[in-house]
Amino acid sequence: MKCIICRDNIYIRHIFSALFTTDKQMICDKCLEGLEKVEGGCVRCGKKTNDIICNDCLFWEQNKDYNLLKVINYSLYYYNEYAKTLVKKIKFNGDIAILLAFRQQIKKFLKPFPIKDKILVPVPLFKTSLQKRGFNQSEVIARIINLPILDNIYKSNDVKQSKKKRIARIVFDDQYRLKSKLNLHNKDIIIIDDIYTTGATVHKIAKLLSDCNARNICSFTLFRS
Amino acid sequence: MESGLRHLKKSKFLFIVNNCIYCLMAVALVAFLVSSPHILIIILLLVLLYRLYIKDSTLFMITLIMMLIYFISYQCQVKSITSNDNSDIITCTIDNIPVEGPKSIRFYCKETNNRFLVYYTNINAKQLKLGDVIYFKSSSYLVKNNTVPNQFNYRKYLEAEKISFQLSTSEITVLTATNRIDYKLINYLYNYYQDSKFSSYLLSVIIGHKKALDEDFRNNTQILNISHLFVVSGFHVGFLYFVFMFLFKHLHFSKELSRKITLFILVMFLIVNAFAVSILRAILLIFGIEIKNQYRLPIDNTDILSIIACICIIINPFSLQNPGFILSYLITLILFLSRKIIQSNQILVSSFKINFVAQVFSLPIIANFSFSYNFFSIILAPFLNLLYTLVIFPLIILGLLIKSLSNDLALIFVYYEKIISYLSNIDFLLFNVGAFTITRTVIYYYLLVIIFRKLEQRSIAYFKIILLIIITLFYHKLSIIDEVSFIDVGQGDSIYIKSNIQGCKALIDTGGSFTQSPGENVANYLKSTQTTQLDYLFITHTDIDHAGDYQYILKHFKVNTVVFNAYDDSELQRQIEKEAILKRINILKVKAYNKVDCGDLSFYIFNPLKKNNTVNDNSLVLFLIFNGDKYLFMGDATSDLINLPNIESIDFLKLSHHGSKYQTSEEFLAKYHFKYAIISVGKNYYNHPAEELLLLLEKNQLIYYRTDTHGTISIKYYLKKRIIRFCQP
Repeated sequence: MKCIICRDNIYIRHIFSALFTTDKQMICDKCLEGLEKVEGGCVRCGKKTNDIICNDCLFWEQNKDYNLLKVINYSLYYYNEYAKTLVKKIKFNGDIAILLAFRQQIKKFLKPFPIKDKILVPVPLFKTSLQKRGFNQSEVIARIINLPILDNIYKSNDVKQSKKKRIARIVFDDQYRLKSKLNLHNKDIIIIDDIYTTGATVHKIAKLLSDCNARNICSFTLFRS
Repeated sequence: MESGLRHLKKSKFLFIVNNCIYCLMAVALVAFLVSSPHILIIILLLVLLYRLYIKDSTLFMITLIMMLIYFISYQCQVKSITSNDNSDIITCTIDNIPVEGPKSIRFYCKETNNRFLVYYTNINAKQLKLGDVIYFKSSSYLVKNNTVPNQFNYRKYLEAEKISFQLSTSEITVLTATNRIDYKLINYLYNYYQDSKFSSYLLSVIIGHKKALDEDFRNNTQILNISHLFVVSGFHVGFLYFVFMFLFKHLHFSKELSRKITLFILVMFLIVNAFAVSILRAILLIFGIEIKNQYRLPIDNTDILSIIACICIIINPFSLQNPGFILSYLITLILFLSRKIIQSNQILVSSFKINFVAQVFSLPIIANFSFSYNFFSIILAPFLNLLYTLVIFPLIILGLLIKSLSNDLALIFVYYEKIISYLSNIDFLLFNVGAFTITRTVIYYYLLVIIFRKLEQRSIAYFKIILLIIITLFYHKLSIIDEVSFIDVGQGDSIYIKSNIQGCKALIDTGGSFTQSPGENVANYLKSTQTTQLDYLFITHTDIDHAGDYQYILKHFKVNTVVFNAYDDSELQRQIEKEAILKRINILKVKAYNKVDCGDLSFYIFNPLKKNNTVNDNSLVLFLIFNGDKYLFMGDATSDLINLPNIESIDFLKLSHHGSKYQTSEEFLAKYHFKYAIISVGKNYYNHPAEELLLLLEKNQLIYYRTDTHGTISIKYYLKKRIIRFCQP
């Protein structure tokens, strides 16, 4: 078995807790060491901070449109330099295999959570960027988790998120829309994305879904910047 | 395209190699299943195969193929063992060093296709040596299975050594000596070191001559669980490897050369030790690791070990019947698997952890030898191992190199033996843990693996640890299975009645013989069921075959009361009474129509009514209602003496006097409706059991079981459900 990132041989060291795992290890231990797991930080989004709750989350708490949502974000890794190169490979070189290789880590991370009856909502891409890239990375992650996926949302314009300033991102509204009317009464939702930066995308979609009577909304992203 | 395909195949191959530990598990489970079929092992195997099927289909197929290869190998070799001509004149070659016992010299002997275990009863004869071609006349007989449950199965052990027959002879003619170099080398070493002062240590370490060590010392090392240090084992191979590599490095040899020389020396060591299991394992492992390092293969040590174990098991499909084989591979595998737990910066801490892991995982196998386990050894083992590594083993090597020094060094060994003997006498943590049956062993290892998985994630599974401790210490004591066991003591009686719920443990007679000591079997069986105290020991009468081995019972168990019949006044009875008084055991003398209460059970006595002429007729006759079944234990009494009021049918009858025709009358069998009869009988000169009686039993539609053909007969009650189990030879 070769590591999907660095192409070195993966050296399986048998230990008790690795016996009978069905997932094949696709990423070597060396590459995984470059990534830093999210631990502690802000209770709502996991951002590295000394406060209990970070400034961004405080903004969402105080904003009258969003304060009832109480979206809690779960992320796997911090968006460090190494993660940046990985995301670049995935998104801009189209190396979907790297994303698929995180299957084992994602499953292991989600194992303790009771997610059985929840519905996944991957963040959609704009039509042209989907054509350009060929895949939606959020949808790929959702497919890995292997729960029912809701794709009733589309992105109406293509103002590049990563090229805007923080506040501008939050204020810019009405970017995501429903394709048709929905009733999500008594349903729990997990919003799936690749990176969580300020929470603008997640909150906007959450707002949309809570208007459709969704009960409990949280979000899962691979990286937390 | 093609190179890509090759790459894919190569990585698939690597994947299989990296996962061959599962192949090993499957093959080992099949091997266990073949030697002792049990529903739990089948379930485990199915679960394993299902998990593998989910994991990877190729791996699953490879595992199936390996299992098939094992099965074919088993089928081929099991034939070669059973098909054997009973030829009377045997010419064969001695292929291990003869071991002198008190009554006979014992050795393995190799014919062209067969191997035998030979007992040579003429001790004073000319010494036999390894490699002699000998010629003798003997009748061969099959080695028997254990007839008492939970005891060591010598037949299966010998099967692992590819020995099927046992021969006994008093006259051997030596024809020639074989010209094999390895035999000559071993003989040379044996003779060279034999006259040295501490030859036993040297011989045990250099050529694995097992029986050379002092009996007491060996027992003491077994109690402290360090006996592996005094037979050549993987430990010695590893030690030698590092010593030689270190030595050659400082002699400025090139790395390549020093490695070659070391490996050559190790191979010599293997040959001298006649390819002993643990040394073969250790040396193959070292070879594997060397190859892995040479070509930088991405394989784990566990993979190398698994491949070696798989091959060994397939080559000799009976090898898992040798507990030494299991121990050797299991401990190495477990130590590799628990690397994450063991690793520590301090040497002493990691040494302690290694010993702890090894002891915990070897406990079920070691406990099955003596049914007791000294938990003190867990604390002691790291220090004793350190002492051995730093002091004793270097001294042994010094003695090997410079023979003249051995007289001076012997003094140190005297002190060492004293220390070992002192430590082994500390018994405050010596527990009788009983036998590890298959069910218990599976539960034990299952819990252990879960606990270790948790430990790797740095959390402690308290509940499971407590459960494990309970299973280790109290498994049989908490058992709800009631039993009446007619233990096979050859010609003689011994019946064990146990009920944890009704609070009674009683033994009727101890067995005994002039030539053997079957009482030891009784004691071992009781120990294997975690019995430490007996409420009652009934001595029906004091014939040697009923009470001869009383000392084994009184020595090993805390007996509350000994019950005699009121008219017993033999020499043996006085001896037992004297010993009982010394040990502050109550003595009870009973006669007909007395009642003995044992917990919730009651033993009703129906004989002796008066003093009879013969010892046999004075024998106690006991009646017991146990879980709804009626039992009548006749001892050796004549049936006409017995009168059972208000009783019409009886389920189990222990036939009087080992099935003699004079003690059981037709009227007696007709009067009470018996269902089963049990005959406690062995090899004898009195024609017990009598043909006439057996016909009479069949005529009265009794089902009968004999301890000589059925082995120990255990009538067990699983919550009132009765199951009769045998332990057939």
